[in-house]
Formats: sequence, C-alpha cells, structure tokens
Amino acid sequence: MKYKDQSQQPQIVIPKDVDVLNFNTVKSPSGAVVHYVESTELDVVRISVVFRAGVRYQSHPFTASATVNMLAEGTTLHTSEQLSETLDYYGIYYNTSVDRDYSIVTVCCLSKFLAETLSFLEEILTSPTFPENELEIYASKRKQSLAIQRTKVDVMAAEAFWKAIYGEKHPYGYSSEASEYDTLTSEHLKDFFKKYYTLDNSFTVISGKLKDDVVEKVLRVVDKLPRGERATGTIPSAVSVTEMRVNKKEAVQSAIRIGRALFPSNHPDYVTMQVIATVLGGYFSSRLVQNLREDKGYTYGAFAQVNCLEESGYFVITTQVASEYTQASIDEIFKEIEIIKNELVSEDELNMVKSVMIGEMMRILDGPFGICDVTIENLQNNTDNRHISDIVNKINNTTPEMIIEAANKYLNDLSLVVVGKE
Amino acid sequence: MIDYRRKVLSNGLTVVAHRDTATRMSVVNIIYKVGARNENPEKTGFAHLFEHLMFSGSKNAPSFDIPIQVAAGENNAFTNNDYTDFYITMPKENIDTALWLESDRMTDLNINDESLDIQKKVVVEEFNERYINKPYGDLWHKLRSAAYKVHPYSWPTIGKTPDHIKNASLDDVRDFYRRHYYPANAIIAVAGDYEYDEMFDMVESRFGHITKQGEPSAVLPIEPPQSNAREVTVYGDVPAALVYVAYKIGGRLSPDFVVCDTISDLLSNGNSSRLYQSLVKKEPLFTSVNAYITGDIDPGLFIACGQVADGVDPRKAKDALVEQLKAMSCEKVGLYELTKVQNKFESNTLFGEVNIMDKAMNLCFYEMLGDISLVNNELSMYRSVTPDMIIDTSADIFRDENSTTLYYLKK
Repeated sequence: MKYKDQSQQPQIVIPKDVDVLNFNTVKSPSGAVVHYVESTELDVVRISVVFRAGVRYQSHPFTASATVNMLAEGTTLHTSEQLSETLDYYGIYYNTSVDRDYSIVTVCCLSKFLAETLSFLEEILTSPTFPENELEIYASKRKQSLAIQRTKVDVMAAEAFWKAIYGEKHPYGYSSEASEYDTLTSEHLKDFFKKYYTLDNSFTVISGKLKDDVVEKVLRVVDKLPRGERATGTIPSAVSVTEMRVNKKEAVQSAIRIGRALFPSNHPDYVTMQVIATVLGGYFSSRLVQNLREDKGYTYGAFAQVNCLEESGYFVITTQVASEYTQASIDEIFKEIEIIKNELVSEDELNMVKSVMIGEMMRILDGPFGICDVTIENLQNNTDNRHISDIVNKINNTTPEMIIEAANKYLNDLSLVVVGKE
Repeated sequence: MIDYRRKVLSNGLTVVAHRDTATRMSVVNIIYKVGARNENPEKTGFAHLFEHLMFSGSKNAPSFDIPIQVAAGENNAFTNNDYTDFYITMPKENIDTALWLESDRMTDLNINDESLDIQKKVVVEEFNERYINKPYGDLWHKLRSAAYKVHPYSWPTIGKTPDHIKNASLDDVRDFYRRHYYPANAIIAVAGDYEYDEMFDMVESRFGHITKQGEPSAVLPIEPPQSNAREVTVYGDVPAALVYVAYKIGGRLSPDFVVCDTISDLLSNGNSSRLYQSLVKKEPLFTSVNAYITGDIDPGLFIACGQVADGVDPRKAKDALVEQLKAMSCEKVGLYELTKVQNKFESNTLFGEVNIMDKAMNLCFYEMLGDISLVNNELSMYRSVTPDMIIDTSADIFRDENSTTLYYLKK
C-alpha cells in the first residue's frame, strides 16, 4: 500500500448543481390532488397532508394548534386510546405540526402496513370529535409545558422578537397567555376544523416506495375530505419597535435577537439575503461564530437566518451569551453588520459560503423524507422542485457587490431584543 | 439490513465500510473509545472539552473546518460517557478531504494555550446554556451522583462543575491526546457509493502510516450492588415538579438489555403505552411520563420519570408510577401487547436507518461495542423476548433497594 502524502491537501470538487426529482401529480374527478415523489431504497411510505390552517387563521388563542394536535384524540368510530393502539401496534410514525400559516399532518409507515395507516388517516381527517375530556387533559399538559418553555431565555427572546418586528397584535407577531388554555372549548376546535380542514384548502404529498397503486390509494382517501373554500386573510403591515428588553434577574446568560421583517421567499432579493445570513452566522466559520465564540468565547453558538412566512419573512441573528458580555456581544454584532455593509466579501469567503449552502441543500434532499419536506415547501410557495435549480443558480451568481447592495438596503432599522439580567 | 464489511489495519485501526448506491453523499465517522467514564474524578468534563480542541487544526490542515466547508461538507461531534464520535458528510467526490483531515488530527493536532483558553470559555458557556440557565438543567448531575457511588457514571459528560473545565492545563490536554487518540483506540466507518475494496484502500492510504500508540484505558471501578433505596430532593425555580426513579440494570451487552428495553417500551413507547394511559389519561397524576434505559456500555440505569400535574402530591405520583413498574413482575404481558412494541421497534429501526449518516454511525457504534453483527441482529433478539423473561427481569430490577428517587420541586 502506498500512503498518501499528508502535506498535500486533496483536490476538492465543488458541486455546482443539486439533483432533485420533480414531483408528479394526480387528480381525482372531484378535484382531490396528490403530489408524489418516488424513491426506492426502503419499504416505507410517507404521507403529509398540508392545510392552510395555521395560527394566523384562528380567532381564539391556541385553536389552530389544538385542532391539529387533537385530530387523533377521538373520532366517531374510535376513542383516543384505540387510535393510539392502532398507531403503536403498526409502528406508524405520526406527527403534526403547526406554524403561522399551515398545519401539517404526517404519517410514515412500513409499506406492509399501508392499508391500516390509510384507514387511520382517513378517520382522523374526516371524523374527529374533539372530546371535551380529552381537551381538558390536553390543555392542562400544554399549559404546564408552555410555562416551562417560558422560563427559558431563548424562548422568551423568540416570542419577544416576533412582537418587536411585527407588533403585539399582528398575526405573525402575537403570542397568548398560557391561561387562555382555560377558555378553549371543543366548539372552537370543531368550528376551526369545519372551516379549514377541507379538500380545497389542502394538498397532499407522498414519498417513499410507491408500488402497487399506493398513489391511487392515497388519492381515494384525500377524495373523502369535504369540499370547502380556500382560506384567505389579509396580513396587515408590520409595526416594529427598535428595542425590547426583558429582565430575568437570575439568568447567567442573556438571549439576544437582532433582526427585522423582510419579504416572502419569492422576492428577488431573497437568495441574496440568504447568502448574507450565511456569511454572518450560517455555518461554523461564519463571522459571528468566529467572532463571538472562537475569538472571544462569549457564547456556545451564534446564528443568522432568513426565515420565510407565506406573506412575509424575517432576518434574525440569535445568540445566548454570558451575562457579563451582553453589551460587548451586541456591539460586536452591530460591528459585523457594519462591516458587511461597507466591505466587499472576498472571493474565497464567498465561494466557501456558496459551497456550504449547496452542500446543505444536497444533504436535505438526500433520502426519501427530505425530498418530501422540500416538495411541501415549494408547493406552499406555488412553485415546483425545478425551483431548486433556480435557487442554486442564484446562489452561484451572487457577487460581492450584490451583497453590499442588499446589506445596505435591508440591514437597517433592526430591532434588538435582550432577555437576561439587567 | 445494512450491508457492511470490516477490516483491521496493521496499526490496529478498525475500518467498517458500507456501500450505498442511492446517494451522492459520503460519510466518514470516527469513534474514539474514550468518554467521560475515562476521566479523573478531579478533572471531569475533560473528554468533552478535548472534543472541542479536536477542531483546532493540525500540522497540515491549519483550519479543520475551512476545507470541509469549501468541499460542501458538514461536520460535528459529540461526546458521551462512553465514547467520542466525530462525523463528516461530503459529496462523494470529496471524501478524501475528510480522510485527510481526520488522519492529520489523529497524529498532529495543534494544541496551544490560545485555543485551550478559548475552548474553555466556550465550554463554560455551553455548561451555562444547557445545565445552569435552564429549568432542571442540573437534574442529571444530582441523579447520577446519587445513583453511582464508585463508577465514573456518577458525573455527566459536561463535567461535575465549570471549575474543572476552567482548571484544565495544557499538560493535561497533551497527556489526554497521547493516551487516548491513536489508531487502535479508534473505529472508522466510511459509507458512500464506492466499491468495498476502494473504501478500504482509501482509508489505508490515509491512516496506514500512523504508528502512534497510546495507553490502554484504566480498568474502571465496578459499582457494587445497591442495598438501600436512595432518595434526593432538589428545590429550584421551576414551574412544575418532576419525579425520577432510577434502577440499576446490566450493561449494553448483558442478556437483560433487550428485555429491559422491551419493558421500557411496554411502559412508555407511544400514547397507547401503560404509563401514559394510566397516569396521564385515566388518573391524571402526571402531565407527561416516560420510561427508558440509558444504554450505557457498563451497567446502566432504567429510568421512569414524569412531570407531576399541578396540585398533585409528588409522593403520591411517585407511588403510582412505581406501582406500574412493579405490576410488570406480577402479571404476564399479553402477546398482543408484546407484538405491538416489537412492531414499533422494527419500524423505529428502519426509520432510523434512512440516511447514510445514520447507517455509518450505527455501524461504528456496534463495532465499538464489540459485536457489529448486532446492527442487523438486534431485531430478532427483540422478537425473541417472552412474557416470562419480562416477569423475571422486572422482579429482579424493580426492587426498592435497587432504586434512586429524585424529586425536583418548586422552591
């Protein structure tokens, strides 16, 4: 065996594109739609049903999350306990999620248990009963876990940040007192379900091994959802505040968030802002991690991100630092923001950032489940998986000048949120 | 089923390879057989601190992270009580960059005062963020030190106190590196769309020249059998009371391990399980309950725990929890219920082997345990657990004198 010379760094091949399968679509005569992406490695099927039924549509606190979380807590045919038995006996992975815009129901199963999984899915999506006694148990559990969450500085800072950039009453900004769980009734959930869990207000994505008419079988289930209307709602403009500080006297670390509201992901500057966020705090060698962690040791981690919502989006820098370095850390963050607004990013750094971003996409798309998440996101944004190539091209075409321009355009009027010992 | 082959190089490095033809990505995963259990009780948190220092760059690669990032890769690491794991994913064309970096830091790590000082601060902030500035953050410190009197599992990976980290010296660091980081104390797994011979060759061409030899790890003290029930009460500024009951069980390779895991699944894997149905739904003493085993290499813990509902006496809640455990040794579990947890184990195993990274990590882990075939055989071991085995093992474990109870109460 000839050993390689360690003093020579291996050649690196920089990936310029990302392989991604587009999805196919089938429709039933009555208008049910299922999108599917086939992958053949494993005998598993994943099904996600996406409803435009996020928190922004609720008229009473916690209705959106309680509705999706309680779909499997009782139906006209089975009790909560019986439904749990079915899930556990067949080893079905069942998950629900809710954000400001959408609620998503996901099941994942071994192919051999598809029939049982589909009948479970059909039942919870067409005949949930939201029993009062189950709601009571649910509400008391959630109330307690919310109370625990809200003792953590990072959770407190996240909630304060949305209020700071959108406004206390804004659909993307508000949060509710835990005590509101006491006012939640089964009727709230039933009304919300009836209005938003309809065929016309949803879409379905499946991935995995799709042999033996899997797609048609799923389509037949989706076809049973009631007809309704596509949810609409207007999002008012954001009203931001410059600074919000929350005192937590026993805290040994402060949570800091700095950022602002931006735009949805179809905006022409979206990718450039993603590049900026990555340069600042999107990976280990990013400027904020190097500065606050590796150079000064103020923190265990620092991040910058651009997150998108259906009708908005925001840029945010997040970190948790030793209390005594709170102001020093804030100063360093603003210093880094000034630098990116005034100095061209070097070609080396920019190329590294491009590789990091493209590598991240390759990893997300690897495997049968990641492609499903990406497909959902693209459909939410009214596009398809070919959109990924456009994003990759835009990343590759980003120049240092574009970064300066966008940084000067958007990294102004930032809101600062600090939760910690004053 | 994960297909794999293994080989041991002449310097003692164990290489495990897995071919995955469905991906453009590749993985390099290295386990060093050193964790918090190998630490000096006066210098705890060291294995984890050292994991941070492994990113300080090496002789031929002054930056560890930059080449990975340029190559569109990603890397990270974790330390637990038993071992330290480093992983890198790359587009498959760039796997040699990952091997080059790992080889270089196995032999020629940059160790200096500057990087030590910074990483000490970073780790102290990690300590603050995860174990101090968080409700219940010190729970495992208290529980471990009560459950273990002799064995080094008595402290968590982060260490007993931030002072141990602050006091680490450059000599300590050099000594630790010399003793624990060498080929025969490591296992490397590579995975990607390559021929098996190609994978073995690429590892050997980067690691075969290394002759570094360390020291075999010291024999660890054996925790004597527990003869009295132990109890600890901690008061903190927390919104709800927690109850933890820990019972001593056998090690990862003991015959009881699979039975204990099955018992924990019967009790708490999923909402249909016994603890959730009886203690959260029927009689709401808890808002959440859980049972699991720690999965340590040396004799570990069976944990039953829960968050006590508002207004419920934590002692009453604990008694009801223990009653459920003891019932496992009295009444035979039905075949339906047993099949249910075995089915669930099967799907969890399959869902846990979806990505190439999971597969490489699992292979490395089982090879470290000393029986790589378990990666594919454990399912049949779970399927062969019988109701009688569950009764016998439960009777053996769920004895009061074998328990440590921790109450975490509102101040």
